[in-house]
Amino acid sequence: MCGSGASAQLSGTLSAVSDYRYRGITFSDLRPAAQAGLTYDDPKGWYAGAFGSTVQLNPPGRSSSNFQTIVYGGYATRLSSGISVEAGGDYSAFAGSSDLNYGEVFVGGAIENVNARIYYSPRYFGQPPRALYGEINATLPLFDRVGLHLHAGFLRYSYDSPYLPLYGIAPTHNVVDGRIGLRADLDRFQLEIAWVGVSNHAAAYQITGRTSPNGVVAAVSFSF
Amino acid sequence: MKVRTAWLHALLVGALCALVFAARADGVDPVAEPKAADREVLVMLRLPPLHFRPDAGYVGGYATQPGSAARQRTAEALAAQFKLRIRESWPMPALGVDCFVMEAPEDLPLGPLIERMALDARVESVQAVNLFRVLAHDDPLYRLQPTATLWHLDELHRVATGRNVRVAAIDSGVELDHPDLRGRVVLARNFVDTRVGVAEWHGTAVAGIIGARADNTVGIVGVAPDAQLMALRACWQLPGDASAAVCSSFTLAKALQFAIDNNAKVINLSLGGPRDRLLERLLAVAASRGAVIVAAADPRFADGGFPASFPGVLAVAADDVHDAAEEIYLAPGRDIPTTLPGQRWGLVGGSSYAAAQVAGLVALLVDLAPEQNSRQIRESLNTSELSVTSPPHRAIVDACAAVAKTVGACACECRIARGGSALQAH
Repeated sequence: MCGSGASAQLSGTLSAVSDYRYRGITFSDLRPAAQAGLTYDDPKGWYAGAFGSTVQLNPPGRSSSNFQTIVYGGYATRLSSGISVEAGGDYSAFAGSSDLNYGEVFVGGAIENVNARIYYSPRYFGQPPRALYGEINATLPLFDRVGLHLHAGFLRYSYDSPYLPLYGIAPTHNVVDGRIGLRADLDRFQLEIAWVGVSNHAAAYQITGRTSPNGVVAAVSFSF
Repeated sequence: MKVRTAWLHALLVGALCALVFAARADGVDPVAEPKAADREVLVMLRLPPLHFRPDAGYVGGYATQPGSAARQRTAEALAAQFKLRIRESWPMPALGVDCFVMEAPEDLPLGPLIERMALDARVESVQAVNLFRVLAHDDPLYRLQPTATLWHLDELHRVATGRNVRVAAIDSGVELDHPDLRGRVVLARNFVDTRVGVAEWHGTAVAGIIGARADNTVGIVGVAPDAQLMALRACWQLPGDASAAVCSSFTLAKALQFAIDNNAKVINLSLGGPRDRLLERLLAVAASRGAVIVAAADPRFADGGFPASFPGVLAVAADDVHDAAEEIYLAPGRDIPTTLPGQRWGLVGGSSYAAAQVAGLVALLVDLAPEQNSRQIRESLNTSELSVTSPPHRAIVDACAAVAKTVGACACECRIARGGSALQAH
């Protein structure tokens, strides 16, 4: 018997991470961070949400920031083929360092255990050049409560960082990041340990004020 | 600070290892067979499409999206309000729902409960849990009638063996290490309980008929000996009657969702029961994505019962059924040699096994013409224009004619009228 099925859903997470990695780059100076997220799903496919995280960003020559907020929204629908498609936008704001603020739009698709998105930002982290970021994420179930999570991302941007030569790194416009994680879902708690790598450790020095070596990160989350 | 981070890592690694161990242990501990489902309802809550959310931590799937906790919370609220107990849940993205099994107390009538729950805005749909039974009979006195001879399997296998065609047998457990099935099952899942390697009578027999290994000097040859078998356990054998097994709406729905997710091209359902809205929706999705669904017709119902009578489903009865509706195909249904648990072989009969043979034949047709859609494949079996029976019966499956109709040339004894001309086999 069909119900009205018109109910919206509100869901969220509270997380503690040993190192907040954003697209492979440490946003927490390799230190732990606290995070929270809230998402509203409209019955017709519209969604909106907000995410907040403590950060430790010390961009050279600019004021530092210790909190990032991302607000986002969009529309997603499931096609008869089983593929979900979406389009939306998000805006990142950094407390105390508003010149890092930036917005982007994205389109994406997902099937059961794989999703992919492409993001476009006209001013990535407040820098003049445009940036394009593509990512693909996959989950491979291993056991009932444990899955392998894979992420690969590719950033294409046209900003020539003046800091790269300081590290003997040739200017690059392409950055690849990857993440391989083992995640356990135990009712409302999730535990994850993951290896994170990025092709250019100094790629975001002008944002973070430090390099981002490859390394292991851990996270514990509570979903509600 | 580095010391604290190291401790956090160590703690999480330890917790993950413990969980991995627990999950593995879960996989081998036997559990009780499912209880009777007459006190259970299936409550579907809407599963939003996957979308961007930065707190998801790069996860890829529905099961690990944070929203599942919100639906669990909603389910708990519903259970508390309607005095139910949550037993299990399963995401079914093919329908855009999370399905919760809830158990009602003895003194709560299910009909009014379902009506009240359907009015709740949080509920996408709700229904009772139905039970289905496999459609077999085990009379050992049926006279020998080798189906391989009737369908000229040797000749058919020269042109098609079902290679690369995924066939999902949704049934009871399959003996995976049977000499005729070893290595033939590419995916095996248990949707009934957490046990592994459950070998049961009906499922093993059906799997052997569809895809037993050929040319291995033992046993039988499956109708589609190179098909990629998916052994999906959604039914459980009843104590005291090895050939009988039952399945529930929920276990069948989980298996169907899995078959859809894993691109099964042929889905065999050698079972029957009452109409079931959840299963109808999943069957419709499977058909819309190109799967050919073969179901055994229940001889107690003129239309074959459910799911055989569902539109788009290829209904099959044993050829000793004389009053089957015209839409129901007839296939050999007696003295079919097949695999049985305990590394044995035996003769079986009934519409369950007639359907399994047709599922194998459909795999051959898909192998021959992968570009054809499910409707075209189904129509290939309608070879009444070639019938030599008197009076003609449109629904007697003629494997050679079906192959000829699919590819436009005869592989074995057949006659086909196409564009006014006839093809004659040699």
